[in-house]
Amino acid sequence: MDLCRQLQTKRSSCEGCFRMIEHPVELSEEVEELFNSFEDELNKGSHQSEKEYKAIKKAIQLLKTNPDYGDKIPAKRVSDKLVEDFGVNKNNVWRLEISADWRVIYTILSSGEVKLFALILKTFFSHKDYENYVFK
Amino acid sequence: MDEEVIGIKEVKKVEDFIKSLERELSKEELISELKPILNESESKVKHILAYLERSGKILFTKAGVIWTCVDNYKLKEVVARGVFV
Repeated sequence: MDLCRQLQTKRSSCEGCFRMIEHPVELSEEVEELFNSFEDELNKGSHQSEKEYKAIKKAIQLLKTNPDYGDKIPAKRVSDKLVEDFGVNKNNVWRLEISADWRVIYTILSSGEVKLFALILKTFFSHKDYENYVFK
Repeated sequence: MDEEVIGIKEVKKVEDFIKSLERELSKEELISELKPILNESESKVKHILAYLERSGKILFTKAGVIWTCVDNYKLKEVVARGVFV
C-alpha cells in the first residue's frame, strides 16, 4: 500500500503498520515527577524504588514500539474522575500491567504533525488506588 | 480539500459517532454501522475513514477504532505540561 511507504514521516493509514516504527512516549506531569524522584533516589545510591523505576522504564519501552501493547479498558469501567482530570476520551484509555499489582494507565494520541504517541497518565503501585480510576 | 470533496457534514457525523463510541468496533463493523447513518456507499464511508486516519484523528488498533485527536482543552493542557521521553 502506498501510504506504508510514508512511515518515516507520517503515520500509516493501513492497520497494523503503526507498530512497525518507534513512537515517542509522553509522561504526564504527575508521572514525570514520580519518575524523576525515583531516578534521583537511584542516583543518590538508594535502591528503595528501583523496581518501580525499572517498571516505568519498561512500560515506556513497550509503548514506544507498540502503543496498543496494553489492554483497552472498556469505556464503562473508566471513571469520570479520569476524564475530568485529563480530558481523555473514555474509549481510548489503556492499561498496562507492569507487575502483579502495578498498573500504568495511558491514552494514545496524535499531534498536529500526525505523529502518534502514547501519553502515560498515571502509574499505580497499589490496586486500591487503581480502583478509584478504573472500576471492576 | 478532502473535506470538501467528501462533505464536511458527513465527516462531522463520522467524527461525532467515533468520539461518542463506548464499545470496541473493528473497521468492518464501523463501516457497516456508518453506512445507514450516512446513507452512503461503502466506498465513500471508507474514503471518509481513510481521510480521518490520515489526519491523525482516528486510529485502528487491535481493540478497534479510537479517537486520537487532541481536541479537548483539558487534554491539550495535560499534553502541553507533559514531557516526551
